[in-house]
Amino acid sequence: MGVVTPADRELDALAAEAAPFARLAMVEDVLNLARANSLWPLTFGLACCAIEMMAAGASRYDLDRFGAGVFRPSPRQADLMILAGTISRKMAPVIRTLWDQMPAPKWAISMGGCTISGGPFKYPGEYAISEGAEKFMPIDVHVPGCPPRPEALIAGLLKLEEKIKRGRRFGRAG
Amino acid sequence: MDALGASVSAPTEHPFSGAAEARWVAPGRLVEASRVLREAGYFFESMTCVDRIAAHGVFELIYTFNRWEAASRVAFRVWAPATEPVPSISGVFGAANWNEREAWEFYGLAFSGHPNLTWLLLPEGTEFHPLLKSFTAPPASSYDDSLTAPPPPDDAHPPAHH
Amino acid sequence: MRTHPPTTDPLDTYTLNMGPQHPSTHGVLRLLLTLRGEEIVTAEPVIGYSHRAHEKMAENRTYAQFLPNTSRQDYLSGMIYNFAWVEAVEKMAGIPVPERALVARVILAEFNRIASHLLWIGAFLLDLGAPTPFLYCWDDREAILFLLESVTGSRLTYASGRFGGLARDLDADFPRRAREVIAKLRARWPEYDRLIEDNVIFRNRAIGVGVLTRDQCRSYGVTGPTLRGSGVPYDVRKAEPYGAYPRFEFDIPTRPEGDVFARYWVRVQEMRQSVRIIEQALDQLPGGPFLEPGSIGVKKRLKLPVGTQYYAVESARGHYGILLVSEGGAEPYRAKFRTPSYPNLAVLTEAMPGTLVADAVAILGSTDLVMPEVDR
Repeated sequence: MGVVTPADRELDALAAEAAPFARLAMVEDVLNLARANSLWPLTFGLACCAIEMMAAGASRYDLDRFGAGVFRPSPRQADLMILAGTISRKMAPVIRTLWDQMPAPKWAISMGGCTISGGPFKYPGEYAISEGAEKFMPIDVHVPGCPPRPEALIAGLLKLEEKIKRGRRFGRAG
Repeated sequence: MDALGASVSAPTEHPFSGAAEARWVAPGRLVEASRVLREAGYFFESMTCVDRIAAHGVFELIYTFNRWEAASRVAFRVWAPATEPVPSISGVFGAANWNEREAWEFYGLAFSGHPNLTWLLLPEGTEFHPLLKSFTAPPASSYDDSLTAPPPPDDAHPPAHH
Repeated sequence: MRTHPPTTDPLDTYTLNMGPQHPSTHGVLRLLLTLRGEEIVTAEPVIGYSHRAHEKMAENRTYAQFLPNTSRQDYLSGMIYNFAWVEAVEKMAGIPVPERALVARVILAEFNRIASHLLWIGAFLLDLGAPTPFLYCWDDREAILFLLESVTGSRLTYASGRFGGLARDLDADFPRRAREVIAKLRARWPEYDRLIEDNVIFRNRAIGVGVLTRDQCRSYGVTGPTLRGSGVPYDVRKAEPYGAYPRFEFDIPTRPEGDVFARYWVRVQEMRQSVRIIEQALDQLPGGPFLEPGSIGVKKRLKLPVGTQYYAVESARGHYGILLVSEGGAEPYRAKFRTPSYPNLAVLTEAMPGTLVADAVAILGSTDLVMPEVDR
């Protein structure tokens, strides 16, 4: 289960109280702007794509330019999960646990063919992999490739930032 | 190598290349034969299980050993009846421990005298042996249904204020 | 190495679960450590979190269709794995390879080896708490990737081998660009030495830690730089020379100590030897076709003669063996991949007990594991 932060609860209460008189959309917009520009991804690699994710964070591509370079080793401190690599059937429950441990609001990027649909490891009768992350958790942005270049991951990240700034989240129409 | 004595005669004409010596070893003499190599300074290189059940009703086990100093690969080929356990050589070569576990989970081939014959690469409790030629697809129940359930709706994501 | 008498009291020890999501397990390894205080009593690796069924896939794919899988087994030195598959099939089918392709394969594979070692140095030092070398190493590594990309079209998971040659030729400008990259690498080496090798913190964390004895290596089949750090000059490129390697002069760096520092030192020296090989290969690069004229390439269905063959190469992590069983069909009857990280990880069950928890990370890092290669 996700975690509803005290700040969110306060906001909910405030919004309910102030609803007849005022809209707190502005506050939410400012919050979203902050969230979009300070994403903290989880240090979490699964396979090949993780190397390109590291490349995106390293010297040439430098994810810090987009405010997303603070990789956190603990899910409790992260708000972005970049699924980079093949999800085996043995690993899928672990990933779901990690996702549930991340505090809301949180977002997920599926990087590479494996996390989108099983990618090159999918064939009739396969027994080892989970065919895509969306079987067990929500995904905001898909970045196709095998593996995607760091530029592609950055493009995906910018798309996610756009989405956050527009205030869209899961569980709501828009 | 001479200490190995007479091995079994080749049960099939199936050429082996890439090794200085490839010989058929009876399952009962496997431990003894590998101990000879261990004492002669060989290291454990690989172990492969091949499903030959359809044609011969057996598994073919191929062990390869090699030396650091003067490379000369020795391959042991074991013709193992599918129903009888093969003696484990994990007491002779530490590397055999994992390799035998792998053969057990992938093929269902048992090893006698193995200290911990359990799943290695597959999730614990997997009931099928995927590398068998008779394996076509995992049973539907091997999927964890709780994972395919949609995530809880608004609970994980507090409502936005618009 | 500290030793304690064995205890019978279960309350004296406790179990620490490390992974499968842990920043220093290099992927999805899980370690079950039994500890007494800070000391490791037993270490049990739990693997399979990245099992992708390469061996089953090989039985369902033609030889050519399986090409892209090979570089995904070990994505850090994917070129070497890709060529190993191609060479194993060529050898079994008796497909000739032109001279130019043989030498070009050596050049590409050695660049890939350097890239792999550079990544390892960066990631390993990061494990030990030093983020700066990571940025330096990636800068150098990107130069190599850029070069390889200009030839193969991919950065990481190459599929540039073809049965009978290569998918694309090295262009006329390639030697110049390759020499530029080498010059860049050379200029960095003194910096690495000063930054890492002479660093007192690194030395204290690496020297005398995680000693692997020769007998442990023999029992588990440890190979590669991990074995050479224990003083054994075993390298498949010398022991069973393949491709164009016999033509080039290079040494096998070894160090007798068998500790973390020795394994680091061996890899650093190996990069220099790789550069030596590349320079000789660039000088001797023959002209002519890069793919055997009239070669089957990957377009036609290839059938191998009935038989079993073992073929080995030296990857960045050690002895990579392919055991191919053919029954005469268009697909392998069985393909077994003897990956070097598998025994290099298995040996830790014996090498870790007696060390401290903080050293576990250093020992694990020093063996240069690629988990999808262990799990296959």
